[in-house]
Amino acid sequence: MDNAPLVELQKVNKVYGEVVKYQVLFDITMTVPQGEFLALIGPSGSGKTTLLNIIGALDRPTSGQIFIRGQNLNHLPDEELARFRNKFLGFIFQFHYLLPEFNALENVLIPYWIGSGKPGKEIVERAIYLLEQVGLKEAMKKRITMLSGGQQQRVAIARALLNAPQLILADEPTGALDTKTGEQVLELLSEIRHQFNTTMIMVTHNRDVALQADRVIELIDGKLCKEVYPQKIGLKEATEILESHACNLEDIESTTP
Amino acid sequence: MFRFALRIAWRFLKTSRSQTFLIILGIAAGVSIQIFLSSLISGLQANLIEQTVGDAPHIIVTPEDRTPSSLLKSSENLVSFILASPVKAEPKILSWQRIQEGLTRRSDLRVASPLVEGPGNVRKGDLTKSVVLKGVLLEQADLIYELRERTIRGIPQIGGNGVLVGKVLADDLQLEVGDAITIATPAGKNGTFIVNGVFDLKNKAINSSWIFLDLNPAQTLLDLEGAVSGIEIQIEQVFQSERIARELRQEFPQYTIETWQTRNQQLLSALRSQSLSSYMIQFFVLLAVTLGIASVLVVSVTQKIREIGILKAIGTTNTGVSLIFLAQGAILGLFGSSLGALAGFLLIRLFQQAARASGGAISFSVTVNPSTLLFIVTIATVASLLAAISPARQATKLLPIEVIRNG
Repeated sequence: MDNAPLVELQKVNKVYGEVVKYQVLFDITMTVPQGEFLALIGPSGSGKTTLLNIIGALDRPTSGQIFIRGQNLNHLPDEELARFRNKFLGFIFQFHYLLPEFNALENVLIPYWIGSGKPGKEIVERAIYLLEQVGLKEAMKKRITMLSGGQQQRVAIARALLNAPQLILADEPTGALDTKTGEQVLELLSEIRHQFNTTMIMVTHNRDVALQADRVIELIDGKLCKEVYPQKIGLKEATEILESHACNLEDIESTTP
Repeated sequence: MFRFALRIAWRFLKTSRSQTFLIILGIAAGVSIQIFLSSLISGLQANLIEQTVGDAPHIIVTPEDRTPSSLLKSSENLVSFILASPVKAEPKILSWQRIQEGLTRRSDLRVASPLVEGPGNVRKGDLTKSVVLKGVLLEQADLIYELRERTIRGIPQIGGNGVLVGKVLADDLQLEVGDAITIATPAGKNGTFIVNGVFDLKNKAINSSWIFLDLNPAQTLLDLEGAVSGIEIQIEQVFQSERIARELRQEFPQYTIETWQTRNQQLLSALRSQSLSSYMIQFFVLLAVTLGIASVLVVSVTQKIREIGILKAIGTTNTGVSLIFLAQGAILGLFGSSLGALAGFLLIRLFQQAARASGGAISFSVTVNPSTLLFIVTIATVASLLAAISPARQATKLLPIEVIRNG
């Protein structure tokens, strides 16, 4: 990837707790180029979700800088961060997080309502198109509670895409789905990513899912440990690296976790 | 942003239907009580004021430094005090026609009636009685005292030497319609008059001492040729009296101008404390309603914690989230108070029917004042909006990350 970085992190630390301090991230420095599909893996508690939330401007780092397209997020007040999330990012969470008060189409339209008010015909058509892409055009008038888990996750994907985000952040998007539905959702994400040349960062603990990414980064205890490019070096070698106990990134001591 | 907030608020309320319904019912109950109570109190007060000043002058113009005796009508003691007081040279208003002309040009006055007033003695056969002579022009005095309606025997006419006497006076002197009486004054004048009618002004002091006669003979009897002793005024809006009096004092600085309030302090303070207690009740009703809304909305923040978290995560600003709760407060307030206004209106209708059915036992009428209605609805809506402030702030403080992290 020879593009300029879309996301750049410089020495990002995250400490939780006021009295009892608990450091989750240690000096994370990394970049994500435009158009890349990056998978973040690591055991539970390794800080991958925290890292994703910091990139997604849902959480602020305790120290360190985060730039998205050159814009330092630390310098933005909360209200600006909210607007930034709305215009620039698309979130897909492990639990779908749709609003049960609204039907599928309305849920997809919510990001537009938030940012720009009443959607025009074009936007509604786009929402319907996205629902069609995720195979839910027929169900668009259905209440969210009437949809299955996979369908709900697909609605959430359509919602994440409505404002044509430059960056999609997905936290275990298939975690709550059965294998078959999970595969469909991943396929869909891949298609969309290619279609819109969208950058995507996905947190997953599923190695098979991670191996579909352009790059896989493994976090251990809040530090970057391994980095592999499965599409470049081949799945077999990538799997070997991921299965080994040694870290291949400089800033991590080669101790076994 | 506002439309968005309204839309989300509306959907939130629609989804928790029973909760919304109950709180709207609560607001409606409070508002209907407020409307009923305030209408009842204002009806009662209007009735009291009408009974007190409806058939009395609201403003009296008199020469400087003379207590107008008719202002003291409601106390027998005071009337007898006046009667007992030594006679002195009567101060008078000479240019009363000019003043009256000036007064009738004002649109906020209903009538300005010249009055020649003074003590006298009435004799019929062997019976005599001290009286208050009221020389008036019937056309105008009738608009104040409603003499035509209140004449219970004979005919309400006082032209020439005709007079109208009070009911009790007529009994005391055994007067019949058509009887001749002699009226004498401390000025040493006297004349013979015919009883044209007997009136009942629903006041014992007046009924036992007042005699209405025409302006001209009264002027002769009381030595006030061409002059009057005062001008009695009724105005359209009784509570405008102080303002009008102020204006009149500027226009006619040489006269004493007094309002009905000065002689009805007690009634006024009673009315004031009644209003005050009604306001107190209304305030606490409103407070209860407001706290009710606030508690429901505070609970709903907790209920909707997930939704708020999602909305914030996908870019709703703190302002936007606050607006959602303020909009909920406004919607609840508007619907609740409108429903309450309707219910209050129906309650008053019911009361009116009961009053009619009671056959006069309930003597006062309760009417809904549209401006009161609007005022209460507005206040209730504003209170609901205020009730939403605390939950709105609570929602602002919610971090989306908390919701995301805890699932």
